[in-house]
Amino acid sequence: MNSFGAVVPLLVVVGAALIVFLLEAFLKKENKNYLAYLSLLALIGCGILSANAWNGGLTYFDGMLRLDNAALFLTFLFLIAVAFVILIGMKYISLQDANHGEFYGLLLLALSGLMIMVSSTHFIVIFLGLEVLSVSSYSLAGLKRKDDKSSESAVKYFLMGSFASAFLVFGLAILFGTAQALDIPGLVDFFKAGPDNQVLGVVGLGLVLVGFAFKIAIVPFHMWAPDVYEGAPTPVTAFFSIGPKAAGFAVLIRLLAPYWNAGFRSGKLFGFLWALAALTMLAGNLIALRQNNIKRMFAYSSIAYAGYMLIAVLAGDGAGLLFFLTIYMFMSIGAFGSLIALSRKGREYNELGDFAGVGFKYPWIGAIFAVFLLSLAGFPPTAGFLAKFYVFVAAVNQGLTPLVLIAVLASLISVYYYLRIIVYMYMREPEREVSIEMENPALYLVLFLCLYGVLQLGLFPGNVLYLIKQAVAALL
Amino acid sequence: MELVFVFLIFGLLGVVLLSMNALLGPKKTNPDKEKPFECGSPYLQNEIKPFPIKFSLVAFVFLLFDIEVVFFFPWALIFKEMRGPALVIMLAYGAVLAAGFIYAWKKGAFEWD
Amino acid sequence: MTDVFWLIPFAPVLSSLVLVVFGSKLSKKWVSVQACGAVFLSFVFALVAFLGSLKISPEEFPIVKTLFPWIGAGSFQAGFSFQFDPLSAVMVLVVTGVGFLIHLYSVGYMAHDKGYTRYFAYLNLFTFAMLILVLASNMVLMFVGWEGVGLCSYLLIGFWFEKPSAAAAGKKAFIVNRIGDMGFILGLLFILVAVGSSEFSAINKAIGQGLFPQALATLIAILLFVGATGKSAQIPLYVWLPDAMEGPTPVSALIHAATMVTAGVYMVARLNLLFAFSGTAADIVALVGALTAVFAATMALTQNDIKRVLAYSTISQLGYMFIGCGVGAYAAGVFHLYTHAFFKSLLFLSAGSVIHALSGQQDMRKMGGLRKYLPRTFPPFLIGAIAISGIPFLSGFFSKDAILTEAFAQGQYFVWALGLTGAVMTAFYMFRLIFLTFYGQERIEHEAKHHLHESPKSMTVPLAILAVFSVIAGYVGLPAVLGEKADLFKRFLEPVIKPGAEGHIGAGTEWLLMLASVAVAAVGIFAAYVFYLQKPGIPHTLVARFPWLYKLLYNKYFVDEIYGAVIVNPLVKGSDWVYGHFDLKVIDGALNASASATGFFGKVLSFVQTGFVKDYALVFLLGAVIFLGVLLF
Repeated sequence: MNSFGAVVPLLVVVGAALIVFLLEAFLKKENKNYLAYLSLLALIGCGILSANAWNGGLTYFDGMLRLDNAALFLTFLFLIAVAFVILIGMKYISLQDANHGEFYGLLLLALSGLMIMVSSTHFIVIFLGLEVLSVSSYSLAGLKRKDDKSSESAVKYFLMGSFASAFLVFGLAILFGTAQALDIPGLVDFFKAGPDNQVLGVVGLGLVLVGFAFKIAIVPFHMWAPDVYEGAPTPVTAFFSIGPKAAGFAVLIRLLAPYWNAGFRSGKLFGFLWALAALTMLAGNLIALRQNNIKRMFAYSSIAYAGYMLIAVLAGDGAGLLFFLTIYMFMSIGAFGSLIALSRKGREYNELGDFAGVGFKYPWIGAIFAVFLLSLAGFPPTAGFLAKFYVFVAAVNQGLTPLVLIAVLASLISVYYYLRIIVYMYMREPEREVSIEMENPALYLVLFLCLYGVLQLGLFPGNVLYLIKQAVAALL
Repeated sequence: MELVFVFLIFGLLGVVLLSMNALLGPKKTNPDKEKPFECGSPYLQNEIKPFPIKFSLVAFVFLLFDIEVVFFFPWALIFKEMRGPALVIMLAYGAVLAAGFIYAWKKGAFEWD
Repeated sequence: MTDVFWLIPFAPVLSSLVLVVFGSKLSKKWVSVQACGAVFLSFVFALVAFLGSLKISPEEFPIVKTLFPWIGAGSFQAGFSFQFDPLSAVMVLVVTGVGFLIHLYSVGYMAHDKGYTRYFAYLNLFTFAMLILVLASNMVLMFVGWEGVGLCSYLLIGFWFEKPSAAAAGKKAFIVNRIGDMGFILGLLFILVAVGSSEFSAINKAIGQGLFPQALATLIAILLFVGATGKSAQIPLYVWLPDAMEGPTPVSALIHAATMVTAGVYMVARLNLLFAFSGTAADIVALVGALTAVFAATMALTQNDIKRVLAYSTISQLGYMFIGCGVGAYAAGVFHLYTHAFFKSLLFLSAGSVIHALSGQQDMRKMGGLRKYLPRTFPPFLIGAIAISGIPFLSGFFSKDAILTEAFAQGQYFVWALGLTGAVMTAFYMFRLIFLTFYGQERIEHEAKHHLHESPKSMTVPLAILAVFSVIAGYVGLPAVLGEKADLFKRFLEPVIKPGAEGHIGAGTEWLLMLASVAVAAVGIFAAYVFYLQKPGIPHTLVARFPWLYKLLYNKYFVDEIYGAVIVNPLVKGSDWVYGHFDLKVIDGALNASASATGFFGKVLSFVQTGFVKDYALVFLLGAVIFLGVLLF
């Protein structure tokens, strides 16, 4: 149904971002928290509007913007993620000398980019969303302006990001030249039609995939991730770990699932992505073993997670992917939130050694962090187990058993480094004095909600699965 | 397939020519020859010289309004057909730019020193 | 009004959560008020639901309430859903009612314990799990409750975990129960395979339609009964219950006498159609029950620890309940469960009061003549003892008689005879306990005598209430000879337990049977009187005459030692061997090798991560070129 209502949620977010930027220029430094409240308000408004659009199938701009249920489900996911990031960041940015209102504005803009990416099936619009997301992300990574690592992270992200965007645009140009279409159904029809011009078409498709592989950090297009994750302010890292990834995978499954169904499941593209998934899971987890900086370790862990999600794409399992992303959001934000809990003015504790004995000194944070780690490692009854379980089962049903075997092996490797943190927290004597600021109710609220999410989804996923079932109908 | 051959032939040709150059060409060298050459600047500098960041700030803001002007052309062409909505759209676009401009102004992007 | 039933389990779990999170900040008074209040609230809900259910016609049972879909894996569905019917009504009333009184009692009993908050948190968690168990509408959720009570039982037995014996007892209970759970899980899996659902209604329907063969039904029923023998302490898995007395006495009363241990009985009654359909399984249940009833009673004869006597007595009484279920008199079995909950918790709590008064002394050889020191503990204790011995007009008489009469009527004479034998011994050991504790000469140690005091009100009031119920609870289930409709309890349960083909016996026979059970009870009491009051020398003479028999009984037939020698030791030795030869060498070796290999690969891979953007771009480009190359060629 063609309706202006399809644009309104987006307008709310963008409008709020502009207002935040304007206010930032006028507000005094101690009033910056109002920007956070304003942003949260906008997120809530956007959430209500999106909820009203559920099952509505609204479109606008001649179908270029399409609020189907899959888009809405992911929008909710992003809204929650950004709200969490804002909440965990409020105190953090003032403690870490990054107290710029731009944090909120850029997050909102990045959110709008994500929303655009998932609510379209036309690649020009998707590219537009991707660029809005990317440019905001580059600045977010460098938010700690006086910190060398943060600046390094921003520059590296920017350089590599533009490099990847070039591939993407080039691919799109070739695709448009050969297929005369850039919307996903049109492209699938083109590939179905036959081998004329296929060579160029496949080159274009390949280049587009390379561009997206960069965004979701698939080996070997992952090199930026560890540096960027490590240098960026921790709340921003939490956002990076879920936002761009989820949007990228949503586009990939929209593009590839019909492609597989069109009979390309046994083709070279499938085989290559298969190999990339295996490589990503193994390399991500293997390198993570050697990291002593926890943020960097999580970066590799999130690379490995991209490998698991790629399995869902290969299996064409939209429901599994959405479920996986939902759970990953809670785990990942929870884990990064726990890292933030262990920081104080002007200093963060990210080295493994800092965590020695933390489990006893701060029993609550330690216990919650341990739950997230166990979930990431995939232990039942946490949600991390169910997420992998559903995807692996779907993959086995699609005949991807060898890949699942590799995935299980990779998860086994990952158990080692997740548990290593727990071992440090509970079985080592503290090496140096770690003291943290405990007054951070917003952060604890997020930690609690993430904990709840991880346990609820691990024990009683019924309701969310029901929503996902409705959403997935639109995805494939 | 032709395309493949094209890539192959020209790729190989490039490789062959370059390697022939290396194999057959005379190799008489002296220290001056080995120095990197760039037109107009000394080949050795201790560091990249800083230049005022103000330039790039102004360039950014200029770019924004430059692009706005570019958008004005197609907009003017279809203005007659669209009428009211076209005006609203351009006003919204202008408002976004204006917001950016105010932000840049307030943040001191135009204060030259 | 019945619709509120799904709220019943939530007050205790909320209270437990609050105690865990804020427990350290609450004052002792608030902890008690909050913990007892939560259970009382549950009790009120249970009462409201029960009263509402009286007006509902039997066809409408069970009332099912699905809170949310829980597990959905392919065709298998299990909801987080509760059901309410007369059987669950009885169970929730017992659990919350008796539970509330025991909570009250604990306020006094545990007053000086440093783990006060922890105690109530566990206790309420237990109440929650038990309520889930009896309200679940499918076996998967029931299993959650089943494991939950097991966990809480473990936590509470080992409540004083500084004491090695308590920690060991908790571990033993946990492990033995796990063996039983094995059977339960297997049975559950077979049900899922055969029926495709674990809802009780679906199971009953499948049996009604004859969807699975009798042999399969027997297999499932026996597997489930293995689970029941673990939880309800029947042969051969009863060994954990006597040791469980290491826990605080109110815990023994609530968990190891009144509620948790009856879970097995409840499960058998809940699946009565399955057991009845199988036939063989029902016979096994009856036989195991009867053997346990006698076997445990013989062990109770010689114990000197006041709580251990009661523990063996509990095992024996649970045996009676299984006799009832096994001979098809499920209503009678549940009836005994219900009366037993009152008088056994009464006995435990009074014993607790005695122990409390004697500063922790549990050895009956160091008691005696306490009647005059404990004027408010003695009468309830006596009432409990009379009730359990089966003296007419008290609750125990009606329920035990209903079971034995039905056993006789079904022609299970052997089971009946065993039951009657057990009854003699029950009367004997109970009054042995009474006489040794409250009569005769004082054998109290000097130190304990110094502190000797009657227990506080919060302990004696629950005793009085339980004593009243121990007397009157039986009148809802009068024997059939007094009229067809006299057995209100049985008629109430009819929506769940369909009256089967009952063996018919004449009124005369029934009177005779009743007389027989009264007679054996009287004989038992009289014997105890002669042995322990009139001629205290007799026991010693007997011990001197039959030393092997005494030793056998006193050491509980050496069952623990036999289990240790036959099962535990070989296992420990075997696992030691496996550890030494297989684990250390093969597995650890392989693990170390693979760990160093993984480490090596990690090193190689992270070598590529130089930190220079140009290298990143190079790898990126290489990847893209290979990608395109693969796609094109």
